[in-house]
Amino acid sequence: MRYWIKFTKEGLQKYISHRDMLKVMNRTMKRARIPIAFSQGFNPHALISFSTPLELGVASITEFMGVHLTQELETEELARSFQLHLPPGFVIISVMKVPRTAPKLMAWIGFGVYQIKSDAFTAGLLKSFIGDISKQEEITVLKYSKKKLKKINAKPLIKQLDIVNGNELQATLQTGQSGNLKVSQFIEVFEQVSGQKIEEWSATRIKLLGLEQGDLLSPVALIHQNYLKEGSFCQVK
Amino acid sequence: MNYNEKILRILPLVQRPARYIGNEVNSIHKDFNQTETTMALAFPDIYEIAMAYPGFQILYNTVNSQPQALAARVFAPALDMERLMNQHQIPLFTLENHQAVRDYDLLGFTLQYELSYTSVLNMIRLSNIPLRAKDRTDEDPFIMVGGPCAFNPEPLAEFIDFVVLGEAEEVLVEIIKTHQQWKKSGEARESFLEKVAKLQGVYVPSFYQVSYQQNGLISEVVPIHKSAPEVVLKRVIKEMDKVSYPLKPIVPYIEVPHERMVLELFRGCLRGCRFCQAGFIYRPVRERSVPNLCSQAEQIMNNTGYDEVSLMSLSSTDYSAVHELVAELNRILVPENVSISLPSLRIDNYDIELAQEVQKVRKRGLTLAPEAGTQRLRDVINKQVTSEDLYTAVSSAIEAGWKRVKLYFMIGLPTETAEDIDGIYELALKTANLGRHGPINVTVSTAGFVPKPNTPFQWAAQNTVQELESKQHQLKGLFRRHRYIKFNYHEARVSFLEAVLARGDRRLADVIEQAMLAGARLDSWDEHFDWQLWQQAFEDSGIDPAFYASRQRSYSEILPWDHLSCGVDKEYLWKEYLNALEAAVTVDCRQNNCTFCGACPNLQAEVLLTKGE
Repeated sequence: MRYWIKFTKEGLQKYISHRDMLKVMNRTMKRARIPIAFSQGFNPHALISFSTPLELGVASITEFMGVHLTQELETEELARSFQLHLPPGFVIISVMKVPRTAPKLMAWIGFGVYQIKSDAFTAGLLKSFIGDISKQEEITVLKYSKKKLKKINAKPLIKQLDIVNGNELQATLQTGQSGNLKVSQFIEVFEQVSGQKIEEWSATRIKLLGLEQGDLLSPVALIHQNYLKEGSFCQVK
Repeated sequence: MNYNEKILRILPLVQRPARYIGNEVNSIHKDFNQTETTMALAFPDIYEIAMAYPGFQILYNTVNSQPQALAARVFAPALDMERLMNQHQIPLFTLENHQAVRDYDLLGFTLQYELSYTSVLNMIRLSNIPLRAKDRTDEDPFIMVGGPCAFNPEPLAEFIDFVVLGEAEEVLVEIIKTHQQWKKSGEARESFLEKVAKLQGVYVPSFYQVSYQQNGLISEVVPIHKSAPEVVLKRVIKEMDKVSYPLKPIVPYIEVPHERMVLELFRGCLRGCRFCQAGFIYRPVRERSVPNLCSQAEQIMNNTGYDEVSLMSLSSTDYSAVHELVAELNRILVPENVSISLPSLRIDNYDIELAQEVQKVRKRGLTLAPEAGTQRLRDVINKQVTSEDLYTAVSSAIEAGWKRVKLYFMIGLPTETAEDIDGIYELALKTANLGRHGPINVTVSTAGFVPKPNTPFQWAAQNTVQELESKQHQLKGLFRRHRYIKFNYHEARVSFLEAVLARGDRRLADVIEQAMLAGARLDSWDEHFDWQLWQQAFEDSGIDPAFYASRQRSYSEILPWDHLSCGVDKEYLWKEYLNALEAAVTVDCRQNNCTFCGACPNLQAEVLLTKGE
C-alpha cells in the first residue's frame, strides 16, 4: 500500500538535517508500530521516501513523505498514530492513499515556493531587486558538488518573485533533481544583484510544486485531479 | 537565568545546530524552579560523543527518576559555538531548558578519558564558575566527577568538590537526599561536603593532604578532616536485575557513532588482561538475567524505534547464557527487522554460529583484538588467545561470507622486543592469506600502550615518544608492500599525554589549567590536539612530564591513588605484575580457582552468573 503524507517541519526542527529527519521518521514509524514495508536483500531498509531536501535552517509548512505499508491502514488511522509519536515541530497536515501509477515524489517535484524575511528588506529594495534581476541573463553562484566547488548560473533557476506582506519576498525556485537553488544561494544572488549585505534572514517553504501537463500543481492537487478515484484522502483537523 | 532567546539567535550561524537544541524523543523536561535538587549532567566532549555513551543515559535516568530531583544535560560546545557564545555573552547552558549551568545545585562530569580534562576545566570556565574548588561560594554548584578516570582524579583534585567512585545508581540517590537535607538545614557549604564524605564511594579531595619528598615522590597522603576515611572504597551494585535500566533512552536527532539501543549484559570482567583498567576497576562480574534483558529489549525498541540492539559489556561472548539470549532476542527482534550487534568478540571463544545468529538481519564487519604479536607477549599481558585461535576464527568467518577483518594491537607493551613487532606483521599477513581466492582485506590498528592506575602495569614505564614512533615506522615499512593490508596508528604524543594524566598527581593542576587557558580543549580530537600548548604549559609550571609517563615505579612508592580503592588489592596487582614479567598466565576465576584479587571480600559482593556454574 502506498501513501503520501504531508507534514510541517517548523520550530527547532528546522535545525534537523534532511538525512537526520529520515531517521526520525523511520524511528517514529517503528514507535507508532506502523506496518512499514522493507526492501529485500542483504541490508533491508524501510520503504520511506521524501520530497526534495530542505536546507538546514529553513522551515517548511509543506513537506511530503511517501511510505509503503505491508497492510492497508485507513488514512485517518495512519495520520493519528503517526502524529502521536512525532517529536514536536513536525505536524501531519494530510494523508493520501495513492495508487501505484502515481509518480515518485522526488522525481516529480520541480519547484519550491519560499517566503523569506529579513530586517534588511524594504519594499523599495525588493522592488528594485526584482526589476534589476529581470534584466540579467546570468548570475553566477558557487555550489559544492561532490566536494568540488562549481559555478552555476542561478538565473534560470529563479522562476518567479513576488513581494508579500509589504517587505517579505516570495520566491519560486527550482527545487528538484533537474535543477536546484537553495535559499542560501538565492540570498547570495540577492546580495550580488542588490549590493545589499543580508546578515540575518529566515525562510519558510510554503509550497512544493510539480509540472503536470503544463500546469504547476501541488502533490495534493495532483492526486485530487488525477488519482483520487483509486485512492483516499484525509485532512487532519 | 534562561538563555533560550539568545541561543535561538545564534543557532543559524553554527555548524550542526541540532547539537544545542535538546528536545529529542524521550528527553525529560522538569520544572527547574519547582525542583529541590537540580543537577547539570556534563560530558566533557561534543554532543555526538556524549550521546554515544550509554552510561550517560543511566545517570540521567537515575537522577530524573527521583521525584524531587532533575538532571539536565550539558556538553562541550564545538569551537565555533564557543566563539559565538563568547561574542554574545552566553554562558554554558543545559540542553533541557537552556538554563545557565551555574544556576544548578550540582554539576557532575563523567570522566571517560584523560584527554577530556581540559574540556572539563573549559566547561567550568564557560559556566562562569571559579575554576578552583576553594574559590567557590554559595552562588556556585558543587562540582562532582565519576567514571573510570575518577579512580585517579588527583590531577583534577583542585578543581572538583567531590568524586564518586564506582557505580552510580545507588550513591547518586544518596547524594541527592543528602543535598535536600543539607539545603533545608541552611548550613554552610562545607557541611554538605562533610555529609557526603560519609557516604561509601564519595571522596572529597580537599579533606586530604598530600606531601612530597625532595625527590618528587609522595611522602604521605593523610585525611585532615574527621569525616574523611583513610581509604575510600568504590560503590558496586550487587544484583544487576535489582537496579532500573533506562527503558526510554534519549534518541538523538543527529547522527552519533552508535545509533542503536544498548543492553548491558553484565558489569565487570574477570579475564584479567593486565593492561586493561576496566578489567580491574569493575570487578566482580555480575550478570543480568535473560528474561530481564529480553523484556528490556522489547520495551526499549518500542520506546525508541531503533533498528539495532547492541549487546554491551566488557566481553559479551563471556555472558554465561549468550546463545540462549541471542536466540530469545531474535525471536522478538527478527519479525521487527531489528538486528543484533555484538561489539566485543573474543577470539578464543569465537563462535561462528553465534556470529551468524547475531547478524541475521544485517551483516557487519568483523573486528578481533589479538593485542600483541607473539604468544610470549600475549602471555605477558594475560590475553589468553593463541594465533591458532585467530586463524580458526577468521577462517570460519571467511567461510560464512565475511570479506574483511579488523585487527587491534598495542605497541609499547612492557617487555616488548623487535620480535613482537615483527609478530604483528606476520599475524596480519597470515590472516590476510587465509582468503580462499587471494588475500582478504585486513585493517591493522595499533594504539600506543598507556599504563593505567589499578592495573598490574601501574608501576611500568611507558615507551618514550621516540620509541613508539620508531615502532610505528617499522610497521609502516613492513605493511607498505601489501595493498590489502591497511595500517593505522595513533599519534605517539597523544599516548604520552594520556599516560601523564592517567598516573598524575595534584601537582598537574597548574599544567592542565594553563594548557586550557592557552586554548587546549577537545584534546582527543586529532584536529584539536596541539602538543605545543601542552609543552609550553609543562615548561611554565616547571613540571617534567616524563616523571609521570616514562618512569618505572617501585612497589614501595606511594601512588597518588593509593587512598582510593576499587576493591582489588594492591598486593594482588603487584603479584600480577611479577607474573607478567615471567610471562606466566593467570586463569579467569570463573573457570578455575579464586585468584584472591580481593574484590569480592572487600566489596562484600560476589560473582553472579545467570546460568549457575
